[in-house]
Amino acid sequence: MSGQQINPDDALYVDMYIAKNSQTMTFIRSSYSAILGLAAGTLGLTNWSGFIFYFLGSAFLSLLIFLVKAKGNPSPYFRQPLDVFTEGVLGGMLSYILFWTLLYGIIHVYD
Amino acid sequence: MGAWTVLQERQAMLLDPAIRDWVLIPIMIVMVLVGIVRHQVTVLLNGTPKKADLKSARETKALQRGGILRAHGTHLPEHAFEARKTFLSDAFEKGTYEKDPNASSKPKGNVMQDPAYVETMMDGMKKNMMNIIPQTVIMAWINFFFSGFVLIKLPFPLTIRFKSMLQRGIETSDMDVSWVSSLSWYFLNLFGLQSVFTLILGSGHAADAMRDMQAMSTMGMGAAAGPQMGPTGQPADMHKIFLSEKENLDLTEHEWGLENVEMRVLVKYGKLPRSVLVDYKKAKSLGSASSQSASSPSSASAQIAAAASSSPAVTAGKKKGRRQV
Amino acid sequence: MVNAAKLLQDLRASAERKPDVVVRLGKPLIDSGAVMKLDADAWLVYEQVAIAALDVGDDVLAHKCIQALEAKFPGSARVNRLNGMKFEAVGKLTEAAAIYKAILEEDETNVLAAKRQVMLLRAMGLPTDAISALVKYLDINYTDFEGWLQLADLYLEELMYGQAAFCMEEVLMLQSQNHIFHLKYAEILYTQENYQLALKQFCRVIELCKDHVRGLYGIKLCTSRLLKSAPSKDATATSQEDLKAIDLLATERLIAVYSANGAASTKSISTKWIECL
Repeated sequence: MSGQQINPDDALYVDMYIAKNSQTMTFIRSSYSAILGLAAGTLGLTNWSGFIFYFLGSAFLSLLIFLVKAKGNPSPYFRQPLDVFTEGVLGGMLSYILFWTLLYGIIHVYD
Repeated sequence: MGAWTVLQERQAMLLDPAIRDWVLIPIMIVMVLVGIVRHQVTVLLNGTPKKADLKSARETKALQRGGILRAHGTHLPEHAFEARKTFLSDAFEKGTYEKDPNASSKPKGNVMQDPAYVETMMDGMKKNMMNIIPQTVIMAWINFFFSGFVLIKLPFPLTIRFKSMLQRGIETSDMDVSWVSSLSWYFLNLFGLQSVFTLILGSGHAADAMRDMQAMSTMGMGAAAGPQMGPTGQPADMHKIFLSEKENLDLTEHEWGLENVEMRVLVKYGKLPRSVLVDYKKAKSLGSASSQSASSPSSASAQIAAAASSSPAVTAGKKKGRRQV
Repeated sequence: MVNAAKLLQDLRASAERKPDVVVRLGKPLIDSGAVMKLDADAWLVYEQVAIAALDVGDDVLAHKCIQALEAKFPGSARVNRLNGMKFEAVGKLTEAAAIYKAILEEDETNVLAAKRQVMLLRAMGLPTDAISALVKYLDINYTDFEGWLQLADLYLEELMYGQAAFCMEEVLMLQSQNHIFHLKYAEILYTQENYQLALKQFCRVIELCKDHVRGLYGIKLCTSRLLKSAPSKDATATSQEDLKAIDLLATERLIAVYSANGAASTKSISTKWIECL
């Protein structure tokens, strides 16, 4: 094991920036999932189509962040490069459901 | 929307628009406003952080010291590591770093008479109350005025299991589960508004529903988990913690990260093939480390001539930037 | 304006000491009042600029910043410390000492004031007192690697290399990825004539930071000493073959580095130096 424990890459991340990046990601995802929810509700999506819409939408957002903001190489910004695709997806789900239900209810259930 | 018409045929039900205007939307607005107010009140309550005293700071730092030695001792040469290990395990045993070295010998009094403990507990209680009261009030308000209202229809189906939860107060046996009552709308808001609060208040806000739920579930025990509290709510016996840290230290074997550093450098500059490191690792793990590892570097450097001609380019460590998105 | 604020924030995060840059960026921000647009960050900028201004001797700017901070946070220990630093900057050391003492009486865990107290003792020319104060401070705030670094410096001034090496070991544990700290430790070991260990540490420097010239020179020095002395019987010592290989590598890299981007004169000087060893 000796020597292999010393990993020179560890210290190259500044904790503050990592935290800031994940905060930014949460912010983007929260607003985005709320807007996605509004869209899904307006379109009147139901059942699986709604959830598929959400995951497709999040995947699209992840791809945008991956390509535009991280320029195809997320490793300088996140400890785990895959975090770009996973961070905050499930957290945004709850607000997506809320806004989806709200708009769906207002537009398609009432009146 | 084919799916939509099918559903409608199955169970067409019209809701009075007045319910939307006077129940559905007001509940949401009230919850947002309460969340904001609560955030501000929490900020106010947290205005004065508690002063730590010097001795307890020293105590926690000393414990950290043991952990750091165990985790990063690999950077130290043998003699430095052993000296620190001996010193720390001795000090931990004697309790040099403890806040109150004689605490363990004294009989434990009633914890309620310890002012520091009571203060920490009051603090936790206050925060818990801040979390619980607004939610309880809103829930009571909804229960009192709007119980039995069918508010909205979820756009996705749920199993019958959810019926008793989502349609509490509506005693029908055959209504579709996706129609939900006012209380369910409340819960939907409680969790879904998280992101809205993140947007308005910034992250780290105090209007966190998850914390509310936790507060409610720990309410029965009445104890706030502070840094000095054991799992039972009693102040933990620091001497025991120090002793267990000492045990951890005693079990830690020193492995020096620089033992083969010359070889690693030679490999890095392409003077030796990468496989030398693997051989070295194997030789070391073969037991009888000292004799094996001593012979292996010398044999390794003999390969320089061969390696220099056909050395594969050794990759330099990837540079990672320190940038923000 | 946004760029200046961003740069200042980066400087705060990296804790670099670049007072001239900070003052150049921060002064227009504060003079024009644009700093208030930064909301909560404004006060951090004020503090940062105040310290930088003291560093470059711009007492007027420092005074302005500290006054703004005092108006916003009356009675704050952190602002009071800035007052103490202002006294230090103009050489009124006893007044500064009184302020730090008052802060510590109020709150004995105030790290900033405790640190300033140590440096004050150092500035007063009382290294032994500074050392004992710093040792006391580190006994409590063990994880402060800058404190250990400072203590190592103090010990070095007193020529107490063993103690300095101990401090550097602590720094290495707390900040193991910084090659500068490894370099410092290696140089202390070399001074203590522990060439074997020093060589390993110099190698670590090279491993962490490719072609680090000071590290390469260190390796050259160590290997030439070790090659001249009798081969060690110690099993953990570097073998003769490895020594020669490392020596060769260091020479090669040094010449390569200097021929890459240096005047011909520096190259010839370094070549001559290497030949002398």
